[in-house]
Amino acid sequence: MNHWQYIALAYGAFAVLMAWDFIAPRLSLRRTIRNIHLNQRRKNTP
Amino acid sequence: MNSIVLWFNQTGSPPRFDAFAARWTSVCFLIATVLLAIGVYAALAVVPADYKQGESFRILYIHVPAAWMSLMIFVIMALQSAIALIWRIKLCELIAMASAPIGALFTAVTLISGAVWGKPTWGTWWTWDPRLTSELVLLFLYLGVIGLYSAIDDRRAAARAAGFLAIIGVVNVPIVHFAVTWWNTLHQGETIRLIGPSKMDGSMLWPLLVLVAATKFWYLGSVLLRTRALNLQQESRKQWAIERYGVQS
Repeated sequence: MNHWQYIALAYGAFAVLMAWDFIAPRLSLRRTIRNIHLNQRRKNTP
Repeated sequence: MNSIVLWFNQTGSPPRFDAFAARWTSVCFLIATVLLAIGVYAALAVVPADYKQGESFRILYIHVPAAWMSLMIFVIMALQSAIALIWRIKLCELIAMASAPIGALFTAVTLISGAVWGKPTWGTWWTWDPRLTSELVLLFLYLGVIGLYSAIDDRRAAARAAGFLAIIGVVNVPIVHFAVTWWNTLHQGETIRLIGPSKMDGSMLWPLLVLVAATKFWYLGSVLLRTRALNLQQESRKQWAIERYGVQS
């Protein structure tokens, strides 16, 4: 491997991990909000 | 002074924190993304190659900021845990527990980028060097905090147990930092100093400082978002959460 391939590997790993950090908590928050909404709807359904 | 204390008390209430985090998360991520774009572009295309290491030294621009963040976040996590244990402030527990996965992420970036940099520079991906080993221990401590927090059903008890581990584990932070001074090590010594002159030329230093700032804003955005998610999970049956999120279309 030449130096640029090592650089691509390091920056690629960095990008993947940062993307996970960006997406994972948003999914968790969305799931929580959805659960609150669903619980409330279930409660309001006669 | 009173207005600062009042602000902290008000922001510490779950509904107010939720609104605060919702407002500032995007701002922090936006600043971080702009700084990351500038820093990575400069690191890859603007700065000259190193006279000794050639092009591979460009890995430094993600390795060093990530390493600094891995240490800084652990200290923040331990401090927040200590505050939460002493004064029973729930928000501090949440901030500490929200910090753990972000710290683990930056530690993983440090170890991966270090291994990838080590191969062309030292001829090996990994060696049981004091700096590398103590950084690996730091990753295990982060994973221990995450695991312990997930393993106990009672959220407050889980945060207290994981907080204890964070407080005990913080002793590893100076070991990581001073490993290159205390022991003979393959890892290079301090190149960049916060106080005093750095051994790095200004033309190579500025993108590093931009990326250091970028990772700080990234952490701020991420910790606000993760704390908000944890806060909402615990408050999901409270009236304010139902009023705010229970009536969405």
